[in-house]
Order: sequence, then structure tokens, then C-alpha cells
Amino acid sequence: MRGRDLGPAEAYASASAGLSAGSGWLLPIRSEAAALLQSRGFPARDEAWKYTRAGNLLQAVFVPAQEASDVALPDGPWGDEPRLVFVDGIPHPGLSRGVEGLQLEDLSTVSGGCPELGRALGEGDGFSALNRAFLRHGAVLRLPRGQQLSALHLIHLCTGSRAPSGEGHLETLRHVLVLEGDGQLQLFEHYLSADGVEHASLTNAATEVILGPDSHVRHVRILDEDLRSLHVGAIGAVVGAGSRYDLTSVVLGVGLARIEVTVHLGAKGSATDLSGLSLLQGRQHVDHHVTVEHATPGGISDQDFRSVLGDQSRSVYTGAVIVRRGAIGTRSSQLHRALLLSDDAIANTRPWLEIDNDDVSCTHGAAIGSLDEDALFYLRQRGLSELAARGLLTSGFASQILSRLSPEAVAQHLLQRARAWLGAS
Amino acid sequence: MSTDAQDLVAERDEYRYGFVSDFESDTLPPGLDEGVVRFISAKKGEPEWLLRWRLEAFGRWREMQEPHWPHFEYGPIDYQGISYFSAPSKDAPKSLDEVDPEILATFEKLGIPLHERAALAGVAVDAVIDSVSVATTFKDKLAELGILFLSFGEAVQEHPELVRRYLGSVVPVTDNYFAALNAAVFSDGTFVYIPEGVRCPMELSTYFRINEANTGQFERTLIVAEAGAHVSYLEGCTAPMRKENQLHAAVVELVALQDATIKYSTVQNWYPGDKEGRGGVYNFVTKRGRCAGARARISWTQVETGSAITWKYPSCILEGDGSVGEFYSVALTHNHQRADTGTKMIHVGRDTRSTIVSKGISAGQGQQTYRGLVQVGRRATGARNYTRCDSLLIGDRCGAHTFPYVDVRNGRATVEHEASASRIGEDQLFYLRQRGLTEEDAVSMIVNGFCREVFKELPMEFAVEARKLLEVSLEGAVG
Repeated sequence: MRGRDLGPAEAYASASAGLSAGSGWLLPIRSEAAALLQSRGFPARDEAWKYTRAGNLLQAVFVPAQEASDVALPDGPWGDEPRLVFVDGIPHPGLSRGVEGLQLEDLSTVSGGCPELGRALGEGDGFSALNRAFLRHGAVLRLPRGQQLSALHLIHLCTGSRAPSGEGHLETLRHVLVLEGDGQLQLFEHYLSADGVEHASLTNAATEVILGPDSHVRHVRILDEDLRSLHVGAIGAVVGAGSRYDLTSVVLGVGLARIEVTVHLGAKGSATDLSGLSLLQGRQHVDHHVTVEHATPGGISDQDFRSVLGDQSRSVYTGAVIVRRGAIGTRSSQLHRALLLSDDAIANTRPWLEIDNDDVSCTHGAAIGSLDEDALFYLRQRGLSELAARGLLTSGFASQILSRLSPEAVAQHLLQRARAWLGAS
Repeated sequence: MSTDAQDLVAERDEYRYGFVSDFESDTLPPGLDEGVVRFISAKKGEPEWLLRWRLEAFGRWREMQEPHWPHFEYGPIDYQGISYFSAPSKDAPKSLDEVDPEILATFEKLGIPLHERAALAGVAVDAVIDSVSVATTFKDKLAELGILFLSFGEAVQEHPELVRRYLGSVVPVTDNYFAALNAAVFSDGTFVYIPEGVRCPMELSTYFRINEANTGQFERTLIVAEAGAHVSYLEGCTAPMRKENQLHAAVVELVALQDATIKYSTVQNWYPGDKEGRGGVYNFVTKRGRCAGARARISWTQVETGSAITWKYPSCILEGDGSVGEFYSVALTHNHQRADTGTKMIHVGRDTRSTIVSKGISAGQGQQTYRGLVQVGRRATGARNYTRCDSLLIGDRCGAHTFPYVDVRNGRATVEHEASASRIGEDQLFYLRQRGLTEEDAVSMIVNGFCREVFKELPMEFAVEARKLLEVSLEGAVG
């Protein structure tokens, strides 16, 4: 049952009317979304939001920044690779780095419209409407047939400075990445906070990936922000025939995050591999809501989402695998594991399967618990201290997701961040 | 309004105000209002507190909305079109010899030779036909041990203090729409009480049967096992062919005190509707057990092959430290059958353990849903759950859906969930056929293997019946 909460929705809908214009084609999308937001409201008492209160993302009405502040780019695993940097949701050309001949521009400067926008992410709920109501910036990349891009970094930097309303900023982003066919892309999304954050901000970032035939996208999304920040992420992928979309969602720093992943396997032989790692402490709350739809024969999907939970943190995982009638020969696996390091941490898991045909092989599993006592005993027998043994097992649990990432620079960066997290927890 | 309907309303109006004196009528015309609730209560000679309890439930039910969240849709239920009380017309017999031969003949047709079974298999049968118990056996033998095995109506008369203490203590009247309806209008059912330290020497069994058309069945079962007591209870169901949908909204409450064990087994084979999905029983049942004491154990085993729609979640509240909950289920849906079933394991006490094994088989256009919750509360240190949930699909138009919920709020708990969905392997079929088995026999053998983990939990005579039921239910599913 969908309930609604109209208060913040109305405030946001009317605020969106004052947004300074980008390209003219964005206006009708915005106004339509604002009207939808106003009529529908944000989710409340919604089964999809059972374990995350939408109201906690709506404590204040955040407003968009007017311009990108001048900040320094922190160190990161991007090196000299092409990157687009957004500061408080506004593109910062000075920090960005392009590549000759690449069809990459900001949404606000795309003329004549972007036909792929909305293809991988549909109407959605109130937060999706909020994203379209404030539609202005984001990366639009088009890889023509046969083109490869070994790395593109989309870096989002939040300053946490104070907006005129007295709150932090609303950062709205919509990235659209199109591979026309026979292409390859490694995409890295980094969500970071600048030093000296003073105010909470709300990021509402949507990323759409459209894969033509025989293409491969490896997408790594890293949330490493200030612990006060609020985050709503939506990732949508439409996977073409013989194509593959892989995603790893890593969450290290955020106060409250809701990340929705929707993958549509709508062409023969399409495949996806989705994984996630959340390292949480304090009162952090992270909700991954994953939907994989098998609509055509021969699709393959795999999921491996993990959480390590300290203090009073909470992880929520909902993974729905939907196999439509006619999607014969579907193979699907789904796994969620939560490691509870504290008595007060909470893990919620919903591994769902909806199957409407018989020629399938689908599995799902979930395991929630603390560290394996036998493994601890074995390590201590080898002379490790209890602390060292626990650290080793925990980092082993986490590194199974991180160590398979490439390139090496990204994997090492994240493993180092994970070790720092473990040392602190 | 048709003339018939007007007649019925007029008829009902007659007893609405004169219900107390109208003891002669045995079947109520369709319709539901406060008068009906009062009529049922008066007809059964219930004490004032029970009438009040029913009326409160009825009041709450009227304020509640019928739920529609399961993974199926069903036609509207006309609650005013159901007759809420019907009883075999003769006075209750005092021995088996006095039982209406026609009723006995029906049991024979269903393959339940009542006296033979009672004598040979050592099974006491409290047979409920429609709404009033007509035959009860072995009662005296059980009474020697202090075991009470009564119809609900008798229990209210003979042991009101026990009924009052436990009725609604596990499934409160406001629990859900159908439980509230049941509380208001339940006609009869079974009451079992096992005194402290007593091990019930035989399987207790009740055969339910929906007999008269248009009669909703609202049974209520209450089983209480005192400290250290042990009981195994069998519930089996068959129903004759009916054209219209029949609502069955039963409530089962189990209470197990310290070190007590209750094993509750069900084989449900009610009319599933015809091949086009017409007719069949709506089986909307609330079953819940409470492990109230330390080391108490409640085990649910169910084999669900019948009913047009099965919608139930036999659950365990594990309050006592070290208490154990189990749920073993086989559900089969063929043709247009729908089943939305599963369990809730609520871990409250320390070191509580639960096991869930669910096997769903979908054939034809059958739709199968497993829906379950494993909840580990803050106090439930050392809690463990293991869930295994498998679906077998036969045919490209059936469906299998799995909606588990896992909610862990204690860092020293371990919860494991595994699930799979697949069809019968071509190679498995090939090997069996190569050995000379027909395709149907081969499928039956594979299905039985698939369900083995659950069947081995059933008492032997039920396990045999369950295997037969699956074979019959799967006829025409392949080839």
C-alpha cells in the first residue's frame, strides 16, 4: 500500500519552480515531475520503504546551490583519467578533465533533449520525481559503436556549506550513459565531502546506463561522505543483447542512504553482476533496494551484497529478482550477508524471488550473524590475539567484494579505506 | 433485491429479536449482524463473558478492512451471503452407534473408517461435521490421564476457567480481519489440555469437513500443554465438490509452557475448484503458537494440496529461553490454485531456535508464494534460525514467489536463509524413464523426493496419505 506525505513534497514542488533554467527541453520534464510530486507525495507506509523512514530524509527542505564553490579536489584514485567534478551538485570545469573527441557534456548544455533520459529509470516514487523536478546537471556520455573508455570518474564533492535557507544544499544529479554497441566502459562515481562540513545536505543522484548490444559496463559507486549527509541514489540499467552490466556499490561514509538499483535484462543473453559492501558504525543507516527483471530468455544475474555493522548502525537489503513468463533459461543467484559486530546493530534482509515460468534456476540466500567462533578459535590457536583474529576475519569478509575491483588503484584505495574503518571501529 | 433474498431477510428478522428462545432452528439463513453473534452464543449456551468477547470481536471486525496484499486476487466475499450456523439436525449422539449412518458413510467414502481407525490405530477422533461435534472417541481413556480432548462447546461448559484463561491469548481478536470474524462467529472446534508432565499416549486427530453448501466454517482450536507435557495433534481435511467459493476462516492457538512440546500436523485437501478455476475453498486461517516457558517446543507440519486459495502462516512466538519453533511445509498448487503461505518465527527469549523448511510445488497455472518473517529481538542473544525454502515448477504458466523477511536486532544471533527455484531436470526424468517408469510415476517420485524433508516430520499414517494426495493432485500435470 502506498501512503503519502504531502508537506515536504509541496515545499519541494514549489521550490523547483524557482530553479534557474538550463536548456529549454528540461522545463516541461521539471514541471511535470513537480506536479507528480505534489500529487503523490513521498513514500510513507510503503512496503518498499518498510525499514527506512522516508521522513528521515525530509527533516528539512534543502535548496540547490547557486554556483560551485571554489574548493580543492581531495586525493583519489583517479590520477589523470577523465573526470567530471560536481561541487554541491554544480559542475566545476576547473577541477574536471576531459578527453579529446569524447561525447561528454553536462545535462544543462545538451541541446534538443536527451532521448535516453528516463529509459532506465521510470516514473518511480516521490524521490524520483524530486530528482526530475530539480533536473539540471549531470554527465551525459555517448559512446558510439565500437568505442571503449577505460575509465570515467564522476566526482561529487559536497562542501556542507550553508544555503540561504539555513540548511545544507540539495544536490540533484542525473547522469545518462549510453553505449551504442560493442563498447566498453569503466565508470566510477565518487561521493565525497570537502573538509570542514558544517551542515547536512541531501544528495539525490540518479544514474542511467543504457547498453546496446555486445557491450560491457563496469560501474563502481563509492559513497564516502560526511556522517551527517543524507543520500538517495537511483541506478538504472537497461542491458542489450549479449551485454553485461556490473555494479559494485560501496558505502563507507553517509548518515542515511537509500540506494535503489534497477536492472532490466530485456534482450537475449544479457547479464548482470551486482555487488555491494557497506561498512557502518555509529547510527549510520543504509538501505539497498535492488530489482532485477529477467524479461527475455537466457539472462543471467548474480548478486552479492554484504554489510559489516558496528555500534547502532543498520543495514537494509531488499533484492527482488523477477522472472517474467517467457524468460526461459534464466539463471539467477542472490546472496546477502550481514556481519554484526555489535549487540545493538540491526540487519534487515528481504531476498525476494518472483518467478513466472518453469525453465529457471534461481537461488537466494542470506546469512546474518557475528564472526564464526570456529574460525576465531582456529586463528587464535595459531597465536593471533583475539583483536587481530577478529580484524583479520572482518577484513577478509569485506575484501572479498573489494579485491575483485579493477583497476588496482581503485581496489587499493578502497581496501585502505576499509582497513582504516576497521581500525577505528 | 430478489424475492428469495427478501424472504431470507424477513426470516432473519424473525429471530433477530427472538433469538434466545429460538432453539429449534438448526441452520441460520445467510447474513451477519449482532443478532447472529448473539444467536450462536445463546444456541451454545455460552456464559456472558464469552458473548461479550464475541461481540467485542464483531465490533472490531466491522471497523476493519479486508486485506488484499497477498500475491493473488480473489473475487469479493459476500459476508452477508454466508450462513453462520448449521448443525446436523439430530441431537448429539451419546455413542458411535447413535451417529447418523449417513455421516458415518461419508467418512467411509473419505477413507476414514472411524471406529476401525479408532480401535486399530489408537487414534482418537473428534469428528467435526459442519459446526457441531457429533462423534468423540477415546475421551474416557484420555480422561484417566487428565487429558481434556473436547469440542470447544463442551470445553466452554465443562472447563470455562481454562478456556477463558487461554482463549485469544495467542491470536487476539484484533489480530487480523479473518481472525476477528472467527472470534465473533466461531461455531465450534477443538480444545485440548494436557496436564503437567503428561505425555499424551496417542495422536489426537480431528477430521474437519465442510458439508452443507453455503456454510462458512469458523473453527477454533485451542491446545494447551502444561509444563513438561507432550502432545501430537493431527488435523486432516477433505471437502466434497462445490460450485461456489466457500470461506474457511479458522483460528488455531497453541500454548506450550515450560519443557512442553506440541506437534501440530495438517493435511489439507479441500476442494480446489475445477480445471478452469471455478469454485473451491478459500482457506484463510490464522495459526499461531506461543512457547511461553523455557525449552518449550512447537512444531508445525503442513501438507497443503487442496483449496482454491490457501492463505496462512502458522507461526511461533518463542518467548521462553531455549524454546524451539519449527515449520515444515509442502504446498502444492495445480490448475488455478493459489497458495500464499509461510511462517513467522518471533525470537524473544535467549538461545531460542527455529527451523523453517518450505517446499512449494507449482503446476499448471498454479501460483505459489512463500512469505515468512524471522525476527530476532534485542533480548534474543544466541538465537538461531535456519530457513530452507525451495520451489519446484512444472509447466511454463505456473509461478513461484518467495518473500522472506529477516529482521535481526541482536548481534549474537545467527540467521541463515537458503532458497532455490527450479524445474524437474530433463536428465532426472530421462534416467527414471529409462528404468521403465512412466513419466507420471517419474514425476511423482521426484516430487516425493523433493518433499522428503517435510514428510519425515509427519506421523506415519499421515505421511502415506500425503504421498497419495500429491500423486492425485498432480494428475495431468505432465505429458
